[in-house]
Amino acid sequence: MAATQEDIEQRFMTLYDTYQDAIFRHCYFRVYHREIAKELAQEAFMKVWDYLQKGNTLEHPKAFLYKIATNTVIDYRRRKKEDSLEQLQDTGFQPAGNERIEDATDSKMDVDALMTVLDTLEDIYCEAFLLRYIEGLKPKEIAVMTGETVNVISVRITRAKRQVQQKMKHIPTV
Amino acid sequence: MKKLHKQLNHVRLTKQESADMRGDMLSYMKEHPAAVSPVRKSDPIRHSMGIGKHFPLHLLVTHNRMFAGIFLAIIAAFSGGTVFAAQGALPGDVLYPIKVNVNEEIRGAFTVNAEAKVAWETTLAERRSHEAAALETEGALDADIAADLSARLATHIDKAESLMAELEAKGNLEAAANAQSRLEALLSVQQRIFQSLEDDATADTDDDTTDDSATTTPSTDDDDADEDEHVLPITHILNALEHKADVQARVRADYAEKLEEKDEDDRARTLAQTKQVTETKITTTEKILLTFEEKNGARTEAHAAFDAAVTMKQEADRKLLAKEYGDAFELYHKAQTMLDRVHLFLRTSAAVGIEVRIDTDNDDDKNDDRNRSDEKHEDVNDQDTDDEQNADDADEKEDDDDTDEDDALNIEIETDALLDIDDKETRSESKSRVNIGL
Repeated sequence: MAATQEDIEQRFMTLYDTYQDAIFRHCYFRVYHREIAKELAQEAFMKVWDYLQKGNTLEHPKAFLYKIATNTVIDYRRRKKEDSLEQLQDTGFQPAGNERIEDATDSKMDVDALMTVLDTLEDIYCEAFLLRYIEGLKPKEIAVMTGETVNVISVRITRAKRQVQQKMKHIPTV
Repeated sequence: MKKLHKQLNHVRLTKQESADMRGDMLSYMKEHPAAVSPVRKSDPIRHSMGIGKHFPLHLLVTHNRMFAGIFLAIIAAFSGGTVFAAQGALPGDVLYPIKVNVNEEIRGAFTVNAEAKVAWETTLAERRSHEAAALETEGALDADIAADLSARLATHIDKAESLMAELEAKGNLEAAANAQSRLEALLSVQQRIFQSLEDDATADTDDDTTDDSATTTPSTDDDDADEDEHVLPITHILNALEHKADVQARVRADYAEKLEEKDEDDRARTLAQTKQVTETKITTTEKILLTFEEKNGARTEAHAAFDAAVTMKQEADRKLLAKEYGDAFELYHKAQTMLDRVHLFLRTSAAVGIEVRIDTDNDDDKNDDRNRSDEKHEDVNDQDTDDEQNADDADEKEDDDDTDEDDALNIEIETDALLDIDDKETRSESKSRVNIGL
């Protein structure tokens, strides 16, 4: 039986309410700018709604949503020609007032350094690292989202972690 | 890495930001409303579906639900529309085997993960209950059909409970609790319906006995033995549901305790999801209720139950602020169960031809209306034995090929012919009043 308009709206809003914050964070750790991350997250949800609104269905809503969000961020970075690594190192990223990390100076330095290093990784490794260690997703979940096998994802996570650890050693501490 | 993870976890939207974005999203949706007749194209995320137990068409089922519609259409083309005509069939009808062995098998084959499966099993339990109630009101429920239906009902309930346990074991407490709310609502509502139908049937039997007493010959011991062994058909159905609702209420309480075992971040995330799901359910239920009342031109009794659910949710919010997480979790799910009962009330009123009433007694208290006249019915003190058996059943894991475990949201399998009011009204003109306690 065809879904009613109310059914579609309800399911979408449940998806929205469940993942609004997670998608914001997913975008934030790719662009390091709060307002832009909010806009990109919202754009991702609008694209998902546009897809549903045309009468399509979602078998894997979460995976689809993350994929759309990732592509939205990639499109943004290509459009805006993201700042160079040196500029990021100078400005750092801008935590909002409610983030505790700015209370601990050492921690902020660590996070700054991490973000800088992540930006030097290839997209596939950066994505694998963020999804695993920032979003807390399991390799199996990441595999579904990216369409890769679990083995491929596990290898990417391991390599990304190794690269991050090696590069972090070379970042000067203050 | 863990320390960094914790720190980075604090990057979150503020409440105001979240609310503002939500408002903007709703405005966008109003400007771009959904199409009512979906094209039914699936998302491009590829995933192999580990199904194939139920029906050979797993060979055709690869990525998307489109094939279900195509397959049903193909069968319908060759069957002259039989599969669609079967949707409203009741046990004893020629098309009933098509309904349960073809239509429902096809629909069930497209449930890819535990959440969708448990939703489908609950839907099937509801269908079997409606079929039994519809036949009983027609006076067409015989012992054989009742035994078959009660066996099917018990199977669907057991499968739903196993799948819930599986979700819980995988750490998806929120999904398990959502499924539990719906199942508890179904069990408690259906138990009351069948109890009332049994009482009516018992009263009719007593009347018949009284009428016949003047003309019958005195009974022998053998006759008395036969009479003692006679069980009303509806009692079979009631037995399948017995104590299940109480068990589910305890499962709900268990989930609240399990929440306390999670770490703080997990607990906060689970509760945030629970709260949002409850709020969305309130919004949807209110819409449906108002539409129903507008059609019927009067405020229904279900509205009091809806108001009670809203009050419960507000109490849950207060508990959440006071960091009484377990209580908050349980209250949110109690509110969800009550909202599910409102949905069931509306669906049952339309589908079964039974005039239903709702009262606002707390169903967690023992209800004096459960007045079992049959001497074989178990005493409430035997619940502990039943609980152990049910706990053992819930521990059995269904062997599942499914490899998809990431979705917190699934498209619920829609019910269809249950809301075909015209068919049901032409079938039965008799109605009985049933109390659905809440």
